Amino acid sequence: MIRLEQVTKGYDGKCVINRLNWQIGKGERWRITGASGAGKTTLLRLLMGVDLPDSGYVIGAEQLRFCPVFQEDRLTGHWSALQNVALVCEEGSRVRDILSALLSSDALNQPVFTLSGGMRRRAALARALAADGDILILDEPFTGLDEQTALRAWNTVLRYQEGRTLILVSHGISLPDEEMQTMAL
Amino acid sequence: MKASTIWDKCWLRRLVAAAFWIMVWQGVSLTLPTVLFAGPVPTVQRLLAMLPEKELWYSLCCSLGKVGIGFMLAFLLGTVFAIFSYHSRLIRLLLEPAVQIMKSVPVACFIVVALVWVRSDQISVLTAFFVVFPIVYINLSEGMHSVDRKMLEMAQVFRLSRRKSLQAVWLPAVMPYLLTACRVSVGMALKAGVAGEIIGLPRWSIGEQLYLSKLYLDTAGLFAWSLIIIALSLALEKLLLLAVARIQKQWGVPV
Repeated sequence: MIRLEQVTKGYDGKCVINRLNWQIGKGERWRITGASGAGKTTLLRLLMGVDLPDSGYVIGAEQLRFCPVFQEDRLTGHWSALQNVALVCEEGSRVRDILSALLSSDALNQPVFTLSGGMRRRAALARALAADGDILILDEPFTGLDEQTALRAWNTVLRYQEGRTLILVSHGISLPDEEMQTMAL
Repeated sequence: MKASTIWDKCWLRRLVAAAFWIMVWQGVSLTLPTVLFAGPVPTVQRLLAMLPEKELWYSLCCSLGKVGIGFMLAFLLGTVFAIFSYHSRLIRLLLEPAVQIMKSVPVACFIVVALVWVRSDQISVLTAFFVVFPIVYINLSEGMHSVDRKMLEMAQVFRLSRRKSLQAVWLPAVMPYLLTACRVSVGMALKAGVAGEIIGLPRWSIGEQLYLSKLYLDTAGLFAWSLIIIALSLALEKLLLLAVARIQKQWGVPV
């Protein structure tokens, strides 16, 4: 589905990813591991086509639609969680189900800038899950969440993955290994 | 109600400030002859006497219409050029000296030069345009450059339509700049337009009426016209902000 061939990427003369080969199949679940600064976010950016490799090829990504949770929330601050989610998909019962699985009902209609960091993170996760696409890209989606809330959010991810490929970068929270493959950087 | 709570009311504070300056006005007028400095009472009396006169309404309509045309043209072209210059470094580079000249040249100089090119009855259109265009262009350019790159990436990755990108990414960033441009430019357009009319003296214009008041040493009339200009400027600013607020509401951007 997506193939990375000899992909190299660096910033300011420092090589972050060096001649990486990786093949990702449809519907697979991947976890990217590595120390801080190892290039996990860079790799996700290369996959989404936001950044281009210095050398090598990312093949097959251009025709795919990505549903990302970025490292930052990237929500429209004065809009509610519901409006932010409705931006990327048709509002309907599925959207409401996803949102209510992740957020309390009174948080749904408040402007997201009034929500806590953890709630905003879950709103960003809801947006990714609700979006129509082929690949879920989750870059630290559980930042600001306690262990229990993170596990609940993870279960929601699994429930609404709906056959999409899943690529996860997550530090600090131990998640049950749901047949996840690992890409170590 | 406590005294401090009453004082907290914005309109009351404004009223007190206005009353203070009216008293100062009255005080100064008592020390000078009316022909040099009319007080508030003769000014208001003159204003009331002017209200039924058709000259007042013709002049108001003609001046406002022309300033309005200049303002709208400047807003439209300022927006279009701001968008072009955001996308093209060459256009930005080419426009920079022109905008700098428009910002720096005194309006009076421009009016004198412009009167060589256009008829005096068109001068307020050109003057309003000359003053408003750089304000709109600069503010919108800054607004567009303030748009969060990360939000643009988000719109790109989620493949948002142009309309949705505009709603969620562009307008929230640009609107505060647009509002500032509106606030500043309405009053400036009116002032510059009237200044153009005072020099060009087109028939049926506020500028002509001001000039005639000065010519006949009708200081009360001069002050009455000044009051009309202030009231118009405030009313137009409010109207424009209301229109912007309506657009913001329609597009889901915060007011």
